Amino acid sequence: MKKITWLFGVLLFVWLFMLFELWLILQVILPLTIEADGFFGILLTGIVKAGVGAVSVIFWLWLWRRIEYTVFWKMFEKAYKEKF
Amino acid sequence: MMFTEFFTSITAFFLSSLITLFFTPTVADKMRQRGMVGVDVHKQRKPEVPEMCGVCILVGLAVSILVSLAILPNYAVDFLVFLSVVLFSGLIGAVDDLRRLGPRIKPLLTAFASLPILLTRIYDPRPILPLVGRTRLTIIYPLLIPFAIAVPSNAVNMLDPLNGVMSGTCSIVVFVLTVSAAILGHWNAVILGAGLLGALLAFYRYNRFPSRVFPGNVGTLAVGAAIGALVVIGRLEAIGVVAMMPHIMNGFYFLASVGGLYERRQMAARPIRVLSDGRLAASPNKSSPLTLTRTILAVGPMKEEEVIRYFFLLTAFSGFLAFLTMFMMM
Repeated sequence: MKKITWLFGVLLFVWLFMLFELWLILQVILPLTIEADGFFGILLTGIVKAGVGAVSVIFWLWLWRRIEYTVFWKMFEKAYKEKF
Repeated sequence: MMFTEFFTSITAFFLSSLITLFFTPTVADKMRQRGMVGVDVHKQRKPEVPEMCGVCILVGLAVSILVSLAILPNYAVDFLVFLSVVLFSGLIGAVDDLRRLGPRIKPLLTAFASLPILLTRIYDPRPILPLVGRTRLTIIYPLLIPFAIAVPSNAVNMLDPLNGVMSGTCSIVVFVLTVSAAILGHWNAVILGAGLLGALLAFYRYNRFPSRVFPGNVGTLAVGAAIGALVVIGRLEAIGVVAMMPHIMNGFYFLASVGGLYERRQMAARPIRVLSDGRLAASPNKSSPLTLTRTILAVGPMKEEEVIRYFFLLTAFSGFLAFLTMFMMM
C-alpha cells in the first residue's frame, strides 16, 4: 500500500481541486456581471464567464498532468536505476 | 424503506448473478470453439483466453431488468431506457470485436447510445452538486448527456489492461452508486445498480486472475454505458464522476501522453513489459502511453496480482471520496 501512496495523493488532489472548481464556476464565475449596457454588455459578460471558466478548468488539467508526469518520472528513475 | 423496491433489488441482484454464473462457462466454450480468443500478453506462456464473454453480463442484466419490470411496471420507462442504452452499446462493442471500428468512430457511436435518454427526457436538468446545492442547467444538461454515456463507456473500455481489473473496479463503482442511490432514496437506480452489480460480481469469478474469460469490447462498452445511464437516471452525477476517478485518470493520462485517440494495437511502444521472471515493469520508452498500469509500476516491477490489488485499492479510495461527496450533497 505504501508503494502507491503518491497515487492516493494525486486522487485526493484531483478530488479537492474538482470541488474547488465546481464552487468557483457556479458560485463565483456564473454570477459575474459586467457593467455595460444592452446587447454588448450581455455578450461581454458571456465571453468573460466562458473564458474565465475555461481557463480555470484548463489550469486544473495542466496542473494535474504536470504533477503526474513529474512524480512518475522521478519515481521511475529512482526505482529502475536501483534495480537494473 | 419501500418493501417492494427493496425486494425487487435483491431479486435483480441474485437473478443476474445466477444467470451470468450459469451462462459464462458455456459461452466461453462456444467462443473457444469458434476461435474467438485473445492472447493474455502479460503472462509468460501467453495463454489464449475466450473473448466476448461480456455478453453474459448483458444477458444476466437484461433478464433481471425484465423481471424487475414485471414486478414494478411503474418504473417501465426508466428500466427500458436503461436497457436500450446498454444493449445498443453492447452491439457497438460486438461490432468492434468482430469487425474492428476505428478509435474515433467508437466514442461517436457510444454517444448515439444516449438517444433513448434524450428522446424520453427521463433526466433531471437540476442536478445537486457538492458545496453548491441544487443547480439549474436546463440548456447545458441535455448537451452533456451524450458525454455522460460515451465517456464512461470508453473509459471502462480503456481500463481493461489486466485480469479482472474491468469487472473488479466496475463492481466497486456500481456498489458505491447503488448504496448512494439507496441512501438518497432513488429506488429506480438501486434496482438497476443491484442487477448490474450481481452480473459483474458473477463475471468477476471467471475474469479474475488468472482469467478464464475476457469481456471483450461487447462487455466493456456495455458496462461503461450502463454506469453512465445509471448515473443519469439515478441523478448521481457528482458521485459517479468521483467514483470513476481511476477510469477517468487512466483515460486522461493516455490521451495527454499520446495526444489523441488511438487503439492499443496502433501503439508502436507498449506501456508495460513482461520481465523474464514473469513480473511486470513500466516501459522506459518516453513515447509509450502513460496509462494507470504504467503509473502504478513506476515504483518498480511487480507481479500482476499485486498491480491488480492496487487497482482495487485506488478504486476503493475513490469510492470512499464518492461517499464523502454524497454527504456533501445532503
